[in-house]
Amino acid sequence: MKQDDQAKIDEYLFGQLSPEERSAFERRLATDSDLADALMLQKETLALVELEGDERLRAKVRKVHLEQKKQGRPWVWYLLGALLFLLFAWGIYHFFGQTPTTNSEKLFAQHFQTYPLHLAERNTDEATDLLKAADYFQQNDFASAIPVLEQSLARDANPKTRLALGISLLGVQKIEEAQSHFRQLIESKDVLFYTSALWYNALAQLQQGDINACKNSLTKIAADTPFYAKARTLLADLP
Amino acid sequence: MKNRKPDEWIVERLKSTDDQANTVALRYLYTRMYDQINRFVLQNKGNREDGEDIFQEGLVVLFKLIKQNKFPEGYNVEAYLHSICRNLWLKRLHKYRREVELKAERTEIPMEDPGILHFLNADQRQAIDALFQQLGPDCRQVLHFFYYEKRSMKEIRELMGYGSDQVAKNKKSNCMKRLIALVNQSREDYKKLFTNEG
Repeated sequence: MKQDDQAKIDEYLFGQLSPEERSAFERRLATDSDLADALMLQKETLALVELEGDERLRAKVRKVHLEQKKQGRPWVWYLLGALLFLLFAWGIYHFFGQTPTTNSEKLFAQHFQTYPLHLAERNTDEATDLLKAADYFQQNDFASAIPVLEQSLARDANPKTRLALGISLLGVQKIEEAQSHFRQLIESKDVLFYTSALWYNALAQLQQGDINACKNSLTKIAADTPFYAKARTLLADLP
Repeated sequence: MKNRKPDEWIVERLKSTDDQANTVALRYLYTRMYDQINRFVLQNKGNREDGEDIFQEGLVVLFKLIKQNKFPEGYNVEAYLHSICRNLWLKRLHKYRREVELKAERTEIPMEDPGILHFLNADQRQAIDALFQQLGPDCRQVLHFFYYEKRSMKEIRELMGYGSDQVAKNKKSNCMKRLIALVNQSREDYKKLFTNEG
């Protein structure tokens, strides 16, 4: 093997040799087993460099994915948020003595809760108002969230915004308005919001005292979705 | 949707050597495209986990194309990412022998195979990491810039702070010699580890 063979191998592998140089190199390869082996070794080494590079990119993407997942699609956080909210709501009702009078109202109060909805990306210029709406929503300040969500929905019929608006309207007892949004999401069969819409529509029907309709909605919630367990619990509590 | 970033904005940030710039662009693409890709996979016999996998892998493929200056000119980045993910999902469906007529949400961009990015298992990742740790951070970075990102000697000189292009070239050659020697020491082990992947 010659001293500059590594550089030659590089040039050969990256197509940087002239046709004559390439032919000469290939003739050498056919007769020089050390050179042929060195070429194979360099190819193997380059393959490892490629794998290392891919892993670097994969690690960066994975990091962002985990961060975004925790932020915007946290089924685990939904449950944690739900538990916290349940505790909070239970405490508020007891402290202020706002005891719901009917069984439906009791069940509604027990089961109605919001969960973190990532409505807008903080790093973009878009939707400062939408971020405000998200904050109001998180704090259950539905009265403040509603006008902002309505404006946003008028500009961009985003299903996530529609869901948040429906939940907010339900939160202030504007049941029929809330249901019109849930129905749109149910009819669109948007796979990401279908079961959420079914769940909240069931709560709306519960609040109206329409137990049969509520049960009907709850039974449509599929077993492999986050609201299934809640639906089963509520069904067990219904007369 | 408002405030859509131009393709140049995305490409510039993904091509950058600055991690923060890469992250901003990846976050942007995540916000813009994740729901759409997830919905596509769910509507085509996939589940949520499939959607997550396909989207992440699609992003890696796109990221690599841009890093290596192979992203075709004139194409919209988001549309291209969608097509990459679609093709990745199609490959996975064929692999699992799940036949389906894909429901398309948008016009597909015809493209060649999005490329096989080999999924490494934990042992393989560890082996790669251990190998390149032995090389040292400077050599690792120079080889990555030259062979993976296809950067010129001038760019490498500027990025690494070398005195001249020739210094950068010499560094690259020496680093490659070192890496080859390291690989050669455990050549059979690497062959066994990387050709028996599941």
